Amino acid sequence: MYIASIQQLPQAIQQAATSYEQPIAVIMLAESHAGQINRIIDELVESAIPFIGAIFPALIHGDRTFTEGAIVNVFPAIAAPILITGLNRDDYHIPELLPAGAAGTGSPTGIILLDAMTTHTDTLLAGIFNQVGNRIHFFGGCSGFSDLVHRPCIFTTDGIIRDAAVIALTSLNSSLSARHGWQRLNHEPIIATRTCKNVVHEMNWEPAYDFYHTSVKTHGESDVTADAFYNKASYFPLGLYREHQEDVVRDPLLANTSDQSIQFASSVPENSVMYLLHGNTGSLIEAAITAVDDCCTAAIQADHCLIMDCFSRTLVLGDAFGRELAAAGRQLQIHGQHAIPEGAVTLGEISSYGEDYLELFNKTIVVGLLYA
Amino acid sequence: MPESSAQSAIINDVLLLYELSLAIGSSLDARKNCEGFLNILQARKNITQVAVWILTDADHADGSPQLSLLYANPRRSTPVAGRERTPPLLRTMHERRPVTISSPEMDDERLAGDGLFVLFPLAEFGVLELYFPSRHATIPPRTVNQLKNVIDKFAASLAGSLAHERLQHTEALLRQSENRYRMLIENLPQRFFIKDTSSNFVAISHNLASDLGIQPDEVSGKNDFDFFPAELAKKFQMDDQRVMQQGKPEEIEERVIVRGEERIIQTIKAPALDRDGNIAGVLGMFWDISEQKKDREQIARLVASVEHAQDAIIISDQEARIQYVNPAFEQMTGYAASDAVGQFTRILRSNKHPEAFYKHMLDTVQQGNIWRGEMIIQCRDGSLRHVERNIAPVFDDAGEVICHVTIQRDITEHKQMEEKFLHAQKMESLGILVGGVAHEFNNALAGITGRLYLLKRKLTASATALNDVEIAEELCFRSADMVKKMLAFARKSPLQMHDFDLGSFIRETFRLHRLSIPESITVHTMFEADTMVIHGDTSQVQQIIINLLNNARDAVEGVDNPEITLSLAHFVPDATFIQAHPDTADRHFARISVDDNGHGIHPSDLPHIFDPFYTTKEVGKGTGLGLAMVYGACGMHEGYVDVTSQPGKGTRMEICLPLIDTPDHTLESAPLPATARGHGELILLVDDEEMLRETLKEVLLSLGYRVLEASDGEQAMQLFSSHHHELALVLMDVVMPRMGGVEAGRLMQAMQPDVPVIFCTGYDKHDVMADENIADDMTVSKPYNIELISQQIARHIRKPFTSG
Repeated sequence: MYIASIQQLPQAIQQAATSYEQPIAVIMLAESHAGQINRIIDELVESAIPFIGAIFPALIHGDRTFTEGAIVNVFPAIAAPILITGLNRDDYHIPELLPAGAAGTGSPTGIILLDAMTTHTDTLLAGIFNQVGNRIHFFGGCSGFSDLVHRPCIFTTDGIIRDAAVIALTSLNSSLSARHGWQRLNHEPIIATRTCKNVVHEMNWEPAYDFYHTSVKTHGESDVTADAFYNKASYFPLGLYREHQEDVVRDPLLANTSDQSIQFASSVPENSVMYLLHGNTGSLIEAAITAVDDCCTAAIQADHCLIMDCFSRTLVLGDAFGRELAAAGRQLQIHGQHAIPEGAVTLGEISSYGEDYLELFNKTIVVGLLYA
Repeated sequence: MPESSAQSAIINDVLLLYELSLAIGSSLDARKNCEGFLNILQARKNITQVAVWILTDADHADGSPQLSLLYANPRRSTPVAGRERTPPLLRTMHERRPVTISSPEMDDERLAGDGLFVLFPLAEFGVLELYFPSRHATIPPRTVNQLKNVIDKFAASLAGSLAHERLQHTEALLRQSENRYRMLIENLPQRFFIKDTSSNFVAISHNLASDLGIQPDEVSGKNDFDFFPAELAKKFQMDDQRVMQQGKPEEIEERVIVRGEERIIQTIKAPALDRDGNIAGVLGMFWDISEQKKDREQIARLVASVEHAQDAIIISDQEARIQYVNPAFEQMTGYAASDAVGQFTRILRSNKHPEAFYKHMLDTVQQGNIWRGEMIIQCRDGSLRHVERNIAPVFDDAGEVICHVTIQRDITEHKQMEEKFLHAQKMESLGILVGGVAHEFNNALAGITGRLYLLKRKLTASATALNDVEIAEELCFRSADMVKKMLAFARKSPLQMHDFDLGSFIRETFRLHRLSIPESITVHTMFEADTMVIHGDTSQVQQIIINLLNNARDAVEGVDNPEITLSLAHFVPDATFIQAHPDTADRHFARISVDDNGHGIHPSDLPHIFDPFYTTKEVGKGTGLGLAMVYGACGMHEGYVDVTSQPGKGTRMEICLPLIDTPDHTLESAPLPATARGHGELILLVDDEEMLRETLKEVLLSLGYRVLEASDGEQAMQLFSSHHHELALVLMDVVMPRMGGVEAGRLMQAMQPDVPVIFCTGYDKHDVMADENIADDMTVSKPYNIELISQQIARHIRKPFTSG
C-alpha cells in the first residue's frame, strides 16, 4: 500500500500487521524523507512490528510514480529480519538464512533490499545463492539516491546504515520474472578483457572508454562524451551474454578519461562476453508486459504484486514510464490479478529468475507475484 | 553486416567457451578455482546447481572408491556422496565420458524440479556434476561436447590446484612440525646450537643468542673464539672435532666462569648428519647444572647419612608398608632390606606392650602427628630389643601425608646397663647398711671373745664350766664369721692382699674342703697347670671357693648321680663377656667355675641370689650370706661373678679374678696359725673402746707382754713421748676421737722410727687408710684372732735393748 503521509506510517503498518500472527513489514521510502528517517525509525520501533526498509529515488503504485511517501507491504514472516553489514569489506558475513525447520515450508520468498552503491553487491548475491540455492526465491532492489551519491539508505530498528542489505523472509510463495527489452545494437561481441569488479578498464584489448565511445558512435550514431556521460550512455548499455535468455544488462554510469575506464552499476566479470544494447520505448514497455506474462503462468490470485523498475528506465522512457507501468497493470488485469502493482524505482534489480541463478540486473523491470 | 543465426550461434558458443576457458585457473586454491570457473558457467548457462566430487584416499568399507564433495553451488551439507549418488558418479569416471541422468535418478531432495544432471569426468580424480533446470528437456550433445572440452581443461587446472593444495598441506605440516620443534627448542631452558664441520655456528636458539648478546641470525659465520676466552673456545672446538671424529654423542661436564662465578655446565654434543648420513657438523645442547649438582650432592650426603646412620631408619607409606630401610635397620633387626621392603612395619611387633599402646602409636602418626617413645621390638630371629622410636610424617606441598620416617635407636645395652646400675645401687645401699651394723656388732664380739679366752684360762679346773665357755666362744666365732661375710659383701672386710698362685691355692683349699662334701657326690676338678698369679686375700678367696662348693653340694642333694665340677682356667674375655662387663677388654683372668647338676635356680630367684639374707634353703641350713660374701669379695678383688642356671638341669657359677703379670714374683705361702708369746716387752695399746681395750690388754698380758693403755691418739702420744725408748711396739686403733690412729702413728714414726705400729681396725683398711702407705702386715682386723695377732706381734716387735 502507498502511504502518502509519513506520519501515518506506523499506524498503517500496525493495521496491516493484524492479519498475521508473525508479521514483518517491508518499507520502501521515497528519498525526499531521508531527513526524517530517524524520527520515522523511532516511531516504527515503538510500534513493535518487525520491519526492514530502504530509501529509493521514487516509488511505484499502480501506474504512477511518487517522490514522497512510502510503499508498505506486510508479510507473514518465517524469521526475524536479517541484516548483513560491512559489504564494503571483504570479510562481511552472511548469516544462516534458513532457520532450522524452515526447509520444509515449501518455497519461501526473500525480499531483499541492498545498498546499490556498496562494493560487494554481486558477491553478496552469489554468496546467498551458494548458501540456499533456489530453495528461497529472492526478489528485491538496490536502494539509494537519484544523484548516485553514496549515503546510508538501509534502515532497521537499529537505525539507518550504509553498505548493508536487509532481508525479510516470508512464507508466501512467489512467481518472479525479469525483463528489460533492450536489444543488441549489432552482432559484434565485446569482451571485457580487463575488469575490476564494476570497473571495466579494457574492452577487446583496448581502453574501455575509447572502445565504448567508438562503438556507440559507430553503431548508435551518438557521441557519448565523458562529461554528462550517463545522460547518453544510459541509452547504450551493455549486455552480458546469457544462453537462452535475455542478456543481463550492465549500465554504464561514469567514464574516467584519465585511465579510460568505465564504471558500471554492477560488476562485470573479466573476459565476459557482452553486446552493445539499445532500447526504444516500445521494446521497453513490451518487456514490462512480457515480465507480467512470465509471472502469471499459474491461475493463482496473488496477494501482492511487487515491481522494481530501474531508475535508468525512467530516464530513457521519460514520460512514457507511466505508460510502462500502466501496461504492466493492464496485463495483470488481463491475467485476472487484482493486486495493484507497487514497488520502487531502483538502482539495480534483484530476482531469482524463477528456478534459475540469482542475478543482479540493471535497466530491468522485475515483477513478483506473492501468494499464500 | 548481416549474419546468419547459425553463424551467430557459433560465435556465441566460441565466445562463451572463450570466457569459460579464461575463467579456468583463476586461483591456485582448488575451491576458488572451482568458483571462478563454475560461477561463470552457471551464470552463462543458467545452471542452478554445480558440484565437484573428488576421490578420497579412503575407500568404503566394501572396498569401493569413496567420493567427497570439493565444491558445490549452492553449497551442501553432506560432504560425502551418498550411496545412491556414488554409482552414477563412479560410472562417469569409469566410462570417461559425460553422462546425462534425469533428476529422479540422482534422488536429490534439494531439487524440486525435473531437470537433468550432466556428469563430466574430471580426469581420473573426480566428477563435475551440473544440474540444468526442468525446462531443459534434453541437453544437446553438441552442448555437452562443447562443455567437455573446456571442462577437461578445467580438470587439468583443478588437478594442478589439488596438487598444489596437497603440496601446501604437506608444507603446512612441515611448517607445523618445524614450529613444534622450534617451539620446543625456544621454550626449553637449555641452549641449542648447530655448527658446521669447521666449528662455525650455523644456528643457535634465542636464549643462547640472548646470552651472547646477539640476534640468532647474526651468529652465522661466527665461532667460539668470537664469544669465549681463547682457551675455552679452543677446548670447545676440540670437543666438536672429537665428537665428529667419533661419530657419536658425548656428554661433557665443564666448569666455566660466568660473571665471576664458577658454574658447572652440562653439554651434550652429537654429530649432525646430512641426508646421505655424512657428518655435516655438530649439534649441541647445554645447560647450567650448578644448582642440580649442589642438590645432587646434598641428596648424596643425605643418603650417605641415612645409609651410615647408627640408628635404624624406616620409610613407610600411609598404610605402614615399608618402602625403605637403611643398613642399620638390617643389622639391628636381622631383616634384609629386600625382605623388609613391601612388608608392614608390624613385622617388628613384639606384643610385649598392650594393644592400646600400638593403637595409640598408629593413631598418632596417621593423624599426621609425631610419635616418640620406647618400645620392645622383635627381631627376625625372635630376639627382643629395646628401642627408642621416633615416627614423623612427611608432607607434600598440598599438606598431605605421603610417608612416614621412623628412626629407632637400639637402647637394649643401655637398658641392661641401667638395670645393672640399679642393681649395683641396691647392693651399695645394702652394703652401707650391713657394714654399719656389722661394725658395731664386731666390736661387741671382739670384747666377748677376748673375755671368753681369759675365762677359759681361769676355768681349767672346772670341766663343765670350761665346756660352756667354749660353746659360747664357738657361737661368738660363728657370729664373727657371719659378720665377716657381711663385711665382705659390703666390701668392708679388712683385707690382707698379697700376690699368690691361685692354682696351688685352689688345689690346697679343695683338698682340705673335699672332706666336707659327701662321698656320694662325684666331684671333678679341672685345673690348668699354668701358674695363675692374682693379687688377693687368701682367706676371702678361700671363702669364695668354699661357699660355691657348699652351695653346689646343697644343690645336688636328692638328685640322681650328683656331680660337681670345680675348674680353674686361664680366661681371655670374649665379646659376650666384654659386652656384659665392658671394662674387661685386654685383661686376662683366672676363671674359677663350679658346675653342678642340681636342681638349678628358678628364674625369678636369679636376680636376688646375691642379696644378703636371701636364701632358698630350708630354715637353719643357710644364712643367705654365702653368695653375698662371694659377690662382695669378687668386687673387692676387681673380679666378676656370673651365674647361669636351668631349673632341673643345674647351675654354673663362674668367678673371674684378674691375673697379674709377675713372672718372677716370689709367692708367699699361706700363714699357719699358732700363738706366739712375748718376753716382757712393753706394748702401747691404744683404743677408744674401753671394754675392747681392756680385753686386749688382758690377752697381751697373758701372752707375756707389758702393756701401757691410751684411749685416743693424743694420750697415746703423751705416753709414747715418755716411753718411746722402752716401747717395743704400738698396737693402735685407727678411728678414734681427738686424734686418729693414723696421725698418731705418723708422729710416733717421726719421733722413734724403729718402734713398729700395728693398726687395728674393724673396717676395710682401704676405707680408713686409703692414702697411707701401710703394709698389709702392719694392720690387724677386728675381731681379733688371738693366734694371728700374736704371730703378727711376734714378727714385728722391737727386740729388747741390750746394754753394752
